[in-house]
Amino acid sequence: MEIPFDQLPTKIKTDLITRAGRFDGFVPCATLYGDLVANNWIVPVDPWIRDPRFPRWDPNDMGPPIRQLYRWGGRQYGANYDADAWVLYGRRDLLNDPKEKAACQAKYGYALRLPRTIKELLDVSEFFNNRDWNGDGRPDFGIVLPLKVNAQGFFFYLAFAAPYVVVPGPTVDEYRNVFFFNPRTMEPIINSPGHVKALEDYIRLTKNGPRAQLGWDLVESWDVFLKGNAALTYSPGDIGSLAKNPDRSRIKGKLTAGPMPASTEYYDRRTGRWVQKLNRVGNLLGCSWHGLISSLSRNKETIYHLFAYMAERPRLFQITTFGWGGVDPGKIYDFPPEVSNGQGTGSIQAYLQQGFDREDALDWLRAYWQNYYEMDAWQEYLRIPGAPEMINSLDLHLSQALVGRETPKQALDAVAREWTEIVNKLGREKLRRAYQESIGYGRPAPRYRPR
Amino acid sequence: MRGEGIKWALLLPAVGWILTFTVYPLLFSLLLSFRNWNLTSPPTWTGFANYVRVVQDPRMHNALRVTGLFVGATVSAELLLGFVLALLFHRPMWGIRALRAVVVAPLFTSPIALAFLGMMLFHEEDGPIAHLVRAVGFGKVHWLSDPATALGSVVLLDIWQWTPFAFLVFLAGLQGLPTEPLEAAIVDGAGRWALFRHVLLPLLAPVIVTALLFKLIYSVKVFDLAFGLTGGGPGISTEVLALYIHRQGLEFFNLGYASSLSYIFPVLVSLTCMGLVLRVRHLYERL
Repeated sequence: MEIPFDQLPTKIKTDLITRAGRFDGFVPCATLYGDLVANNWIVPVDPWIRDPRFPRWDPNDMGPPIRQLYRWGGRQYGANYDADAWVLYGRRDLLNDPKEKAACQAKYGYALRLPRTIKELLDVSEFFNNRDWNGDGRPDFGIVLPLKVNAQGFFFYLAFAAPYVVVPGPTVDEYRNVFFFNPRTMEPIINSPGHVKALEDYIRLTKNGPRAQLGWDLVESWDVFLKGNAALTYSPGDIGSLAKNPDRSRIKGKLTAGPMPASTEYYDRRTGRWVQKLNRVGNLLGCSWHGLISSLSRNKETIYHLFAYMAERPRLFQITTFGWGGVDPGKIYDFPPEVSNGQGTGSIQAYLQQGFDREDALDWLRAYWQNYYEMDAWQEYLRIPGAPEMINSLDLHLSQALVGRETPKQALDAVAREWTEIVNKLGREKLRRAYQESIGYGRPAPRYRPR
Repeated sequence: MRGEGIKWALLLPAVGWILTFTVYPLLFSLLLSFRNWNLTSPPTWTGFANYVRVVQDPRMHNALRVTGLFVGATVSAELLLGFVLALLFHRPMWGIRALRAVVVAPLFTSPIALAFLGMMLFHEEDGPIAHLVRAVGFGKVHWLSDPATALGSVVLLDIWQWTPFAFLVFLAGLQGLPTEPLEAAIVDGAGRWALFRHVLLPLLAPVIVTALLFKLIYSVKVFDLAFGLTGGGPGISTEVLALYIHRQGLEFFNLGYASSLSYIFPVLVSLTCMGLVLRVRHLYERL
């Protein structure tokens, strides 16, 4: 049974709350973990992983950053499947065009390339916006983003804002390596100066694309980029695999990708000052779809068998390289050595056999590798109880700010107020424990390196 | 006595049905509106706190405003257009049956399917309307991305779907009118406007009120079009009352607050309908 994105939490939670038990298993967004685990609605799969009755898969195949999304409290709940993160995509042909390079140099004083900083992202998207650079007689766009409310638009703000807010450091504490809450007090930091500046710049960025994107869902923005009408976008991995599909894409062989751009400054809440330093922050945004087993299921082993079957290495690798199915690279065997400093065990040949362009695939996979393993810090993933409601609040006020009905400060202050109400309603202490557990509070900051 | 017993026995299933599926949910939701309950923990008594929140909630104020605008725009446009169409089709002409069938066709469209159709029609870059607007030399219209026009897009779709309802009701009303008063007025020398204003309208008043009440009640409850087409956005510019209640109840599981919000509906509809009926009755008596 397939359910639209915004209805998924409702359908799953209604089934579990009412104890109807219509679903043996489900594939939810990882944001739902807090609710699912806190209420014992799902069962861990640890007992079956080494059971010879079932297909074999190895949780360690999933890179450590993603693997933590499949776990809670030291237990494994999900079998390997999807790995989501937001990376930046651009048009290699445009960015390498000598005429464009010269024009960019003249206008901004630096060489055109896939943006590596927020400043470059703002400049390059402005540079390509509202002029017909593909010769179809219509003005094209600097960047496209799906900003429709009650869809997945909030992920795009989160990806953009991470380097403004996350303060790198050796441990996860009250001030360092946190993005959503102060983990000691559970006070929201969503309206901190870092977030407010990020939202101001984010609104500037969205002006470098079509106004219509305020009403677009993910697929609509992908289509504009894939049809060759936008110079940049950032998104989960689907763009990389969709680019090879001739039915949907006119940009095969013209795609480049990189990790989300770094900010040139970040706000340190401990000192109350902006730190002028390049800050590269990796993310795990998206849902990282994977199967979870309902505690109400009477067929737990059967549904586990299905998920384990899908997680078997040859099958899952084929699903990932096949693309189009929305399963993005994250397992160590998804990455060829040439994009991973020799550490990945995959092969680019598998991607080429599935119709990928070599350069497109290498850039795409390299972007993911860098996002997972080569960043200065990490943006945590919000998956505490109440996360879907918190995200809805953020999503709504972001949309209000984007259409000019609230200023960035007003919007984020409103989000902070509503998050505080949710925290109080669900129990501050309960949420504090869940948040600390989910971000590894007090422990060394994640410095992910593959085995 | 035996006959009396049978009468009550036969009534029992209907009464049981109404008590179980109408009265009990109504009372349960009323009770719920004085509690906080998210289904995962036991409900807690909150008194009138949910109702105080209803009064203070700015998102609720917005939902009321949006619903009011939607109701005002759709009901007046649909009744007016429906009336004009009914007058147009209330005459002998070639192919009238086929034309009437075509006119009422939108009524049978599923609202959620219509919303998705609307997403394609109103697509601001590649939608057919955008191409048409460009072809006649106008610039872009931000159908779904501008708060000022997004509600208009939802309204347009509703008008497209529900004008046939008003058309059907008015056509039936026109076809059921006695001809004598009209003929007598013509003999007395009444002009077209006088005929319409002083004879046709008063005779049709009960039909107009019926159509008005039906559509008013339906429009106040609108959900699927806004849900499917805009998701309530951009921002909360198209978040109608039913959509907000759905969010509170079925997405956030704030069942107590959603129940108290739901009680706005009967109050709103009853007050509006009562006011309307009184007003129309007053006008009717004056005529």
